[in-house]
Amino acid sequence: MSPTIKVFRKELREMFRDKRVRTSAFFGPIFLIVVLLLIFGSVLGGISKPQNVRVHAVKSDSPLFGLLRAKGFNVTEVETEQEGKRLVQEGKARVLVAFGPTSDGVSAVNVFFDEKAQISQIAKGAVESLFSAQNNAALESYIKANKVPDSLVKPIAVKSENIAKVQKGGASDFIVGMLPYLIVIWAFYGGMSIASDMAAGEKERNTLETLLITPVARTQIVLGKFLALSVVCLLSSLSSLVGLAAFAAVKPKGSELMFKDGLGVTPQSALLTLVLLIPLVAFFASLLIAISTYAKNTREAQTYLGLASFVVIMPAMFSQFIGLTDLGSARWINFVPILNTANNIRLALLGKPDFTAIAMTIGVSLVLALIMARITVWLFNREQVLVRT
Amino acid sequence: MVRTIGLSKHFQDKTGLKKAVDDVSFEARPGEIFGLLGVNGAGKTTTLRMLSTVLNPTAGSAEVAGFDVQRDPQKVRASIGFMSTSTALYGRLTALEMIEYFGGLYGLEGARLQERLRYVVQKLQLDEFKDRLCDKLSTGQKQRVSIARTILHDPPVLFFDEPTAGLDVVSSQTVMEFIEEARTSGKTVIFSTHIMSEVERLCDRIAVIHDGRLHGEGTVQSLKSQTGEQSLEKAFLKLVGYATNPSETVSAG
Repeated sequence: MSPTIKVFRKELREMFRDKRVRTSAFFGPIFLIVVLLLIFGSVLGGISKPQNVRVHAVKSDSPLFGLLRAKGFNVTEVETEQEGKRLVQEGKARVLVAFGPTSDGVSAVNVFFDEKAQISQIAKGAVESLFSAQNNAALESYIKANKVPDSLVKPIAVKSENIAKVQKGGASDFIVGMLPYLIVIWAFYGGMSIASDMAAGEKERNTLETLLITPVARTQIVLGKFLALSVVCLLSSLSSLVGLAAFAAVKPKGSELMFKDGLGVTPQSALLTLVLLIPLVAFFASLLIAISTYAKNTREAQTYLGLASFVVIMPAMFSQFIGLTDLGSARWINFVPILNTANNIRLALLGKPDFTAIAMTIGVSLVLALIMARITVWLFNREQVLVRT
Repeated sequence: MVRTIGLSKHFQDKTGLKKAVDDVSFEARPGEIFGLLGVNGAGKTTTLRMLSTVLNPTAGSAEVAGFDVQRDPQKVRASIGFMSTSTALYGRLTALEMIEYFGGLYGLEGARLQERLRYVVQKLQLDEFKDRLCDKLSTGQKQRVSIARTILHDPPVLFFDEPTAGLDVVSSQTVMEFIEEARTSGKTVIFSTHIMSEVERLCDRIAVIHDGRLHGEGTVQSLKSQTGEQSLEKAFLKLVGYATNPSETVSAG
């Protein structure tokens, strides 16, 4: 058996026996994603139903007051407009509805809200939608009753049609927005928990010198550690998918809004995701080990790793918004590390893989992985790096 | 056989050039325990690190088991066993896994590995705790595992860098008995320490190192005669230029 494999097996054995690794690299992503989705589901479910939209309304005999309650709004009465406005300004009420007098058949409805509070804007929107629908209904009745031709009321008829190539198999919007980001960051964060131990920790614990005194070449030692860390990074990234799949299978409250088209991850998109992920994992693993090798001790390693995590998180975060721009299909994006992988995972999940872009992305990740691996081997041969503590 | 000729190691730090080891030459033969005697920071560990190829010499040369440390570092490493109290075990491996892992790295496999494992387990009485995690072992047990790791591949040359530091008298005894056995079995043993009693008990010949330089070499008796002192301690102090009596004129060896 090659020394590389011996080092690899020993590193993996140690890692899986480390409670810290099991918690942060595997259970952590599953737990976090389930909690995240539960919170999202709860919030989404809350704001989408009228009975959950709380409004304050000035006491009135207007039939529109009754309409609010009839349509399922959670109405709290206030005695005066002044009192209601104060509650909105203090954040104790989301929105205040005051019914004015009817004049020439037009009933005045005043809606007071706080522009700076998102929840107030949502409530205002819900109230406006309700009365807008009432206006449309009244208009429809009038048109029918008076046999007014459509050409007078709606001279322009707009019809929208979905012509997406793949009707089935695309993941839901929610998944497409979140998953690439989670996959990429967990590939890094999962390895972070153990990376500081792999070289800096060995220096601190005085086990590195014993390893260096064996006849195994430094390159083989580095390769064995790199392979072990790559496995942990990959499994950590996939753990977030496990959490997602578990959530979609259990279908708790709010999940119907997030997974309205189901989990939507097809075998092809899953395979492409894996193909894109592996070179990225290789890059992350070699970067993490290089940092750990350079650091004098685990504390220093964790400081450097923390800084490196910012560099990783920025492009990963941007991948959540790239679909809102034209950049997603730009060729040069495939030369931007991390963002290229996240973007192509996003396209694979949408059922629109670009194989040229995928090839470019894999190439970039592999080149970076090789560069970092070369740097690590160089560091492993520098006695100033290895024996300083 | 271990031979050094003008071996030197210089480091550059903020204060300037530091000569950790400067022009050290000695020879250690098979079936002999050769002592490196010096105070903390004398250059003993740096010398051993050069001999075990962890550090590259700045000047001079060294041969271990017939291989040059700079030209054939892998062959040198395959021929040595290195033990130090400062080197630790992998806490999340069991004692047996630890030894087996290093056996594998030294090229032992299959039946040969199993045979050697049985030998060291029996020889060092590791059976009662061989399946316990290294983190859970006592200091003495860890020391025995370290010894097992050092000798598993049966190297012709053994380096011991202050192996009894921090050990109780019983554990120290185990280590010293093991070193004596290594000599009996014809190995070349280099033993570094600052403890005089250990040198007097174990070493056939000694090199006195101080401030990176060699200040004397010979048997315990010859060093005492050379300096005119009755004890090795006083002989050492005289050789390194430490005045034990203000009226004495010191002379380096």
